[in-house]
Amino acid sequence: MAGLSQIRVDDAGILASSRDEVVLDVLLDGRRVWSFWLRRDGESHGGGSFVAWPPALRRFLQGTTRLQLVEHVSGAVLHDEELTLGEPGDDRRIAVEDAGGTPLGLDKDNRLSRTFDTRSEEHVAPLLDAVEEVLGALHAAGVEAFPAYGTLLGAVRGGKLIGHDSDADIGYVSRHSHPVDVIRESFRLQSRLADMGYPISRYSGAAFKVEVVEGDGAVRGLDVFGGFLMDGHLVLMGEIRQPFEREWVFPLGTTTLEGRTLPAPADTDRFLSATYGPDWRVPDPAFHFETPRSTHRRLNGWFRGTRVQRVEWDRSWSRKAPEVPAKPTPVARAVHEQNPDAKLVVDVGCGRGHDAYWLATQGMPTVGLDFSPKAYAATAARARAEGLPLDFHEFNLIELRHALGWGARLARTPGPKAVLARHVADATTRRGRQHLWRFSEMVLRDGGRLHLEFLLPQNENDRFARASHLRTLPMEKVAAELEARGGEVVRARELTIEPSGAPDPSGGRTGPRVLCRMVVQWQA
Amino acid sequence: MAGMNESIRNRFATPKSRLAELERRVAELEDEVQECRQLNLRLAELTDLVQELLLPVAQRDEEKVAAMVERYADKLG
Repeated sequence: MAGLSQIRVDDAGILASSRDEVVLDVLLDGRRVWSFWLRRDGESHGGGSFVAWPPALRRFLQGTTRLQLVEHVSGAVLHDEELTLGEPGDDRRIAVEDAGGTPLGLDKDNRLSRTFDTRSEEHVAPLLDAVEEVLGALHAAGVEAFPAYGTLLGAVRGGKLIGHDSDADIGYVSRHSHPVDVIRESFRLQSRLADMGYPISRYSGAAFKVEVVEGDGAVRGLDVFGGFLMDGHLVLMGEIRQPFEREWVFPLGTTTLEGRTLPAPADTDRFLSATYGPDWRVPDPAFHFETPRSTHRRLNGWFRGTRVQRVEWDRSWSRKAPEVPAKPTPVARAVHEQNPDAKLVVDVGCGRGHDAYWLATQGMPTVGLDFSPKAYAATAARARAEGLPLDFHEFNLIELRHALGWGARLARTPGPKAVLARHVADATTRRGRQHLWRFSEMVLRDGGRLHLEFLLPQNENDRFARASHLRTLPMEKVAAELEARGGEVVRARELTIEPSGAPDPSGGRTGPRVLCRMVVQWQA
Repeated sequence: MAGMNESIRNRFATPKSRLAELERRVAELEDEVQECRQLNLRLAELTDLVQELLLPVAQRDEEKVAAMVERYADKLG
């Protein structure tokens, strides 16, 4: 058992010294809220290690609590004190809970979540039902899936979900051995699951999330990781590439999780060693993957790159949607004025969908496309209630299947159309831009115009650009790319917009904005 | 003995400029390898779409083609 000395806990963090490395659980009033490795996660400080409170916990640390430091593996209490953090004399008990009073803890990535050790059996049962349902659906769709990562670890190690974990993961090993075939199979699984009625969000070419509705109507997302054997290695999306044999996976065996029998790789010892290393039997609530750079490069190169800046945008769109403004943007007004014959307007990267809404109120049938349904949900509901000619669809410009699939579908409406893309070319990647040009060319096959607005390089490091996750683009570069795709730039105008005085999304004020408005057409 | 070590060192010594050149080439090769790897996803996307579209086209079934174009986009998630 490790011993701790020089222990000091204050508003900044925990200082302690130990002869050997030790994994510690931090308990507040008897409940685990956080775990860490003293040496790995600490900074050397006066002969000990100092570990700062993780940012996710800080806002809770006002008041009094009984703090215990417990060695995770042995369960030995190494430190126990009643202390007050924040204002001296504040005797309210510290409670790490959500607004509804549900206890929260930090998972291994120090994210605040409803970890399993805070949940009762009746709360865990719906998750296990969901796991079984998705395993069954994947089986029907043609792959032999099994619980993977922490879920498999918990099952094999003790037949239970791991207390400091917060969700369940599923994996499968494809019969294919080339990334192209593995991706195609993943697409086919997605299609089959969609046919069965499951909403799917794709993470990469080999991993996606399946949404399952639980008994009480709550929606749970389960992650499904694709894997395959290639050149004597097991590759499993997420983190793994290790020397491996097919016989260690197939035929699948079984494992027990919370009393239920579930499929598992044939050799769980080897599978978990490939995932967590040979010490997988020793519990480690603060485990960090040390994935080799070569594995990351392979997984990134083969499968990833279709969710660029998604985290930042998701954060922006998770804020409360503002009311639909009365006035459209100048680009939307130009679309309305300059395309009187348009049978359809397509607002690519429509965000909240305010311009799309305004165009529909002007009597123009409109389709809003954005990767985030959360962004346009409120406007879509309002448009439906008002019976406007307006539809919204989920659309990821960086995925070629989306660009081609939606390009073909929207091109089926006969007659000239208009495409509106405001701050899209400057928000996406180079590949996304290429897809935008191709998509526009398809949609405008019967005539019509593409209206673009994007930031020019003068705005580099501008606060608006940063807060809106925008890069900047030279006008000549955009024009050259469009011309290479057969587009004709009808009009291109540089203009400077003086600050309106309204706060920008980051809460500050912004300077003058230099942007380009461009109108493009293709020969019909 | 010391003289011999010196001569071995000289024989295997890499001039700084040569090292910088090799580092630059490794970085360039790494970029090129990634470019090649990225073709996997693109090829799979194209194959998926072509396969789904080709069948109804080959069957000369305009109704199925129309339904496929509608459904394909819907199922992308």
